[in-house]
Amino acid sequence: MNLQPGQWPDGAKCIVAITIDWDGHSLEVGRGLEPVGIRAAGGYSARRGVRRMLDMFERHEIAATFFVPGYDAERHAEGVRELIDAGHEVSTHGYTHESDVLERDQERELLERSHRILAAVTGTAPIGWRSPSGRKTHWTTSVLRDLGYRYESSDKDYERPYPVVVEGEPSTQMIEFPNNTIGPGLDDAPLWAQGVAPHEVLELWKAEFEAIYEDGGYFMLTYHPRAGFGTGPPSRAHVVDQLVTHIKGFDGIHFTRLGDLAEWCLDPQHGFVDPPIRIGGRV
Amino acid sequence: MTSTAAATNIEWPDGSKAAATITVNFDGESVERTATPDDPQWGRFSYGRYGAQVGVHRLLDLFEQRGVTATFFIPAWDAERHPEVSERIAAAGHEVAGHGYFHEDFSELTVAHQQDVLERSEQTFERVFGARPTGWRAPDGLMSSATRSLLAARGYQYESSFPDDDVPYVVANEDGERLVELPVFAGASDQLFYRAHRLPGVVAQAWRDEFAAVSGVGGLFVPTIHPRGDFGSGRSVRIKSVEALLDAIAERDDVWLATCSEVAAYALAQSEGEPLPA
Repeated sequence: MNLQPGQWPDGAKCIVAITIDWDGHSLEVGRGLEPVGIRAAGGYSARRGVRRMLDMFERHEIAATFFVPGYDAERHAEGVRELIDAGHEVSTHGYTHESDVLERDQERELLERSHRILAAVTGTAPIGWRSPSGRKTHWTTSVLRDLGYRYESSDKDYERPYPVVVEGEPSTQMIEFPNNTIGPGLDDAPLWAQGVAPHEVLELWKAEFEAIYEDGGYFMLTYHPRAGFGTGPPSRAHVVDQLVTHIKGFDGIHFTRLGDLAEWCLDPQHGFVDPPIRIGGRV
Repeated sequence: MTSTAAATNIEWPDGSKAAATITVNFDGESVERTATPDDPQWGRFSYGRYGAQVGVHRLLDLFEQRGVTATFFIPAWDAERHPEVSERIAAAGHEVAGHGYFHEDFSELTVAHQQDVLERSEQTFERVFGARPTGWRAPDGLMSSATRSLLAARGYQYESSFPDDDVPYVVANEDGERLVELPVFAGASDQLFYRAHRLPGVVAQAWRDEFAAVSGVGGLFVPTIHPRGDFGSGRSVRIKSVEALLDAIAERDDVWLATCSEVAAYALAQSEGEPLPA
């Protein structure tokens, strides 16, 4: 549909946001499962996967955005601080990766708790949130607004950033960064879980990137540094490495942390207006 | 190609060796609304909105470039929820056909309930498109043994849900009211592949092979495209596969490319003998 490429930061032709959902043992614990045996794959994030990503990003000289469940941040505070020290961004992603719709009060309490934990661990209040498993309610964004968030990244309904909908109205202080994940395969989990092989994933991600580069210029990749359905192990981390190398071969690429891009989009000076054609949610 | 040529029993117009239609199942937010009624349509339940806001426009752009007229099966609620999309589809001269109101599972509905849904959908089509639909496809292909009779009685010309033949055939209900069946095949739908996270190039190849095989036996090729962001073809990378599909069809000047109602009208005119029971 030839979405008009906006005047991205630095006059870039295409934004590239590498986003990593830490999803350690929190995921299994949140589902009432003991994180042992085959259910211990989340442990790979803290033991190997995150470190591997840090090394790779350092080599490529790019900054990424990490979404860390509060439960994992509490247990790996030092590892989370290393992300900040290396110039990456840390944002919230539930406490134990709650992926069911919660009662309103309970949801608020968990959003606030995760917020407090990450603020304490990193020394800075987080400004971004992503829904665990893409579960978001009508009232989620009200809480995020009250906590001063600048962006959230959950919806799959558009191909460019747009104002977050808070209580039925487009916000002027929060940007939605759509992450078109599970269906299109810009999220690693369904691919690895269904036996798509590393060379096929690389082919898919390159093809997605090249199409987006020509149409819209907003490329967001989401993956997990865990084992199991994640991209932490060497063969799979190598796919990201090769993809980043491939992307860097194109002109006008701007790698960004989501917080930086949110501030840029929200600054009226940049005239970034790309409102949703329709405000979402059930009617 | 060697073939089980006896499978076909229809002579296509103007000496064409086979026929093809392009069908789109719109399947917007109604899918989530029906499949996950207790969830708000945010996050992972917002792919249907992508189809309405992004994917369908890509498809319409492509059809416009290629001068292709397609048949859009649209849940009535989606048609009314996205008037700008409905207007664009109609203005481009595409055919619109019924596909439930909320993309309901018709196999779970009583006959009376099916009647209600059909009536409500037809009234919505009248408001949105100015006319009741004359074609229908079951949401997810699910229907009851009564559905085809109902469609025939309500004056529909065709329905397109049964995967049980390579060519159209005619059925009639107890009152002798006729209905054309335009058979479908899951292997010609994008969703089979994208639900399994196959690559866009794989889908392009599958469509090419499917088209070659069906046209090889003189059949009717009915590919199904969804504009959605998850199991559909709406993403920019996947649109290229739809483009390849249209290329493959355009290369064959001995294949009759038509809308569903054109094929149905032709099949009705050609049919001989007693129709099968609906």
